[in-house]
Amino acid sequence: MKITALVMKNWCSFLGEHRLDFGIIDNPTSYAIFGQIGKGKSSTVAALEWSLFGQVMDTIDDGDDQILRRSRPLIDSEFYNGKRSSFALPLLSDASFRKGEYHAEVVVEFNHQGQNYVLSKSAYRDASLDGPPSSDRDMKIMMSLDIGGTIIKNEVNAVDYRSESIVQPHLDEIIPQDVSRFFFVKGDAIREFTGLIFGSDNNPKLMNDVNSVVGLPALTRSLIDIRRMKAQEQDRANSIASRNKGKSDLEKEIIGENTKLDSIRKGSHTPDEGQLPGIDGLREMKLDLEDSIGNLESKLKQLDEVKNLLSKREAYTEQLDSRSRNMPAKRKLMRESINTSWKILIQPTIKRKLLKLEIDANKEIEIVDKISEIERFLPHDKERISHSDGSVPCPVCDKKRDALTTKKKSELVKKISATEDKLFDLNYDLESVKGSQQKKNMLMTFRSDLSPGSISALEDSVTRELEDIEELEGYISACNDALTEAGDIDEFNQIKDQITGLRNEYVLISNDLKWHESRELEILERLQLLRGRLQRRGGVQGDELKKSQEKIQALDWFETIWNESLDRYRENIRSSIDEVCTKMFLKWVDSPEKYSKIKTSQNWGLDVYGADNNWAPLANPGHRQLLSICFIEALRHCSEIEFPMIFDNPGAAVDKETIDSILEYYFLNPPSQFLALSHTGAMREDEIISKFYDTGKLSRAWRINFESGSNRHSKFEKVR
Amino acid sequence: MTKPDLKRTIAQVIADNELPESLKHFSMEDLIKIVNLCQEHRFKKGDRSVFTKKFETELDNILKR
Repeated sequence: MKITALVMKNWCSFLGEHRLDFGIIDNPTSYAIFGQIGKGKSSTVAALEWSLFGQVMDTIDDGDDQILRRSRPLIDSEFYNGKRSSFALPLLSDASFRKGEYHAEVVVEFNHQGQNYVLSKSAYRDASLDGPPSSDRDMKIMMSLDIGGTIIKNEVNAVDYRSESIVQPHLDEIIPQDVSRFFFVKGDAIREFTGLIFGSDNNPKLMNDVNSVVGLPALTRSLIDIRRMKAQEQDRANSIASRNKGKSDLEKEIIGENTKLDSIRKGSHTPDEGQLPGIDGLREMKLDLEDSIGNLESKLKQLDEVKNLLSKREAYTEQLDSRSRNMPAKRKLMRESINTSWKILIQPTIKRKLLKLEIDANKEIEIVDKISEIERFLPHDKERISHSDGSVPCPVCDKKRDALTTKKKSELVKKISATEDKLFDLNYDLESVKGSQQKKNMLMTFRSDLSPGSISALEDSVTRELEDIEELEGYISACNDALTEAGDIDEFNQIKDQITGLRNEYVLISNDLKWHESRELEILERLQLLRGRLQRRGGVQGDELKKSQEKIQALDWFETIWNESLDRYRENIRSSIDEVCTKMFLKWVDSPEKYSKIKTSQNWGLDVYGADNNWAPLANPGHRQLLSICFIEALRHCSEIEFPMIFDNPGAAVDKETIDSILEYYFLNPPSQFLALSHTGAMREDEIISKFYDTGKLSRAWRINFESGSNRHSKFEKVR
Repeated sequence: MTKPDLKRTIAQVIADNELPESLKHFSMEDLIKIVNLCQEHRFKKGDRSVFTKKFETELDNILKR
């Protein structure tokens, strides 16, 4: 950043508008502002600070070697009214306040990295107020930044300025307020800075600020961001991996199915069952069996005659067995027939006699029934006759019956007599037919259905059977004779047995192979399904995960590089600071022979080493301030930040000779822009002009004049 | 007096370290772009999303090659 112009209006001691033009800024340029103490030099620096950082700090030594720091307000009504106030004076011009102009403004025109900027910052009374503002609470700030024609601006409350301004972040990116102290080298601030460097070797604030000015945040902040990006990417990768778990499961399932398929195809080994063949093995075994059976069948075919003979013998044997099984029954039947053939002769008589006995048996039954009936009623009638009345119950039917009349008694006697005659006749008849049924049964044993023809037929049948059996036995015998002649019956039988065994084995293997092939088909279908699913998932997530992992790998690499670069760069800076500090300190210090080198500690504290290369105390306050300036110069040397170096009455405790050396150094070797402000005691105008302006080392110079009176105010006068 | 150079320092560190496979097309121009980006945003506090977005864009461009 190079300032091209600074405009102040009603600013501190500058009533009205005042402008400083810095002219051409292409090359490193130096400027000087001369002025008596308290006439507005520091106000000029304050204008830059306020416009760029929104805050102007004032420092004071409290007398006990303690530095007091306080922010300067815009408005302090007590100060304006002549009352005792803080050492931190208000920024609005008191003359302006008294005139009722509650409006201060600073405009900074600058160029940064080839881009022109116009920063305008105005402080004015809140429009809602009627009377004069009493404090910053009554003030508003309008801030605008013109970046090559693009303007950003907003109005904010003065007290909430930093949090509300939309312009400030843009300025902070150019140079943060924290590191500005290394470019705004002010007399009192130098003392504070010296205290920071030498007061503690473990000053985090100083350490951070130094880190910032030498550009370490370019690595440290981006390193944090890289780590964050890596962590986010890792989360993302984990998330993808988590989503891919399903995919992983699919892959595992596919591996499992492939293992099964492998086992089905190539077989497996189990501790219990040993090696079990797979499809490949079973197919080989099946082919081997087919070959073996084929070979055996070929051999068997060669023994065709034997085969036929055996086949015939088998058939004959089967028939013989069947007939032989029936023969005993037929023989028995024939024997029985011959034994009972005599019955054939008496069959006509037996039939006739059986017919007669049948009739007599029926007649016997009929007579027995009739006798039984008579014998049941006859005692009843006889008992009736023997009793005169019915007073006594009948012993047969147990009924009391009326006494019989004489007539009826006579009739009953006649009836009983007739019944007894009939009973006699029936018993007589019964004697002639009695035992007919038993006789019939006895005669039935001689009954026979045989006929002379049936015995003859049976005899013929048996004869034929015997002839057939004899014939079959003859065939079998002939077969046996033929087989004996053909020979190799045992071999034939062995082959046949082998074929039978192999065929049984073939069936088992075929069934096993069929099961394996069906299982293989199932697995292949399952695999096709799983691979389809995997392809659908893997197509998107696989690429995503791979990209994410590549990104993590890249970010990890950046993290490593950045970490290592940070260490190396920090060491480079430390080495460079040591070099610059040592060189400048030995150049400017009044007794360089006492010292050998300056070294920075890990926390950017400074250690001075004596001529004997041992650590040396730096008791002289002037030497400490000088070393602080050396340190600032070393930081500027190391810094990538391009910002004007502004010296406002530096080195109050340093002797004039040293200050002259420092100023000479900067005027002769200016940074991009160098502005020295000093009172006439430390920087004599005529000397500087003649020494540097006249030799072309000083671009421009101003003098601050002060007009006293009721409208007292400062104003610039261009010296050269 | 030697002025420390951040880009040169990083370039030296890169030279001493092996590039990962994913960054095999990483070039000096990429390094300059990325370091410039880091320097451009070195003072920006708070929301760093602008930086991370730009960094990731550069990184993605390199990884895409």
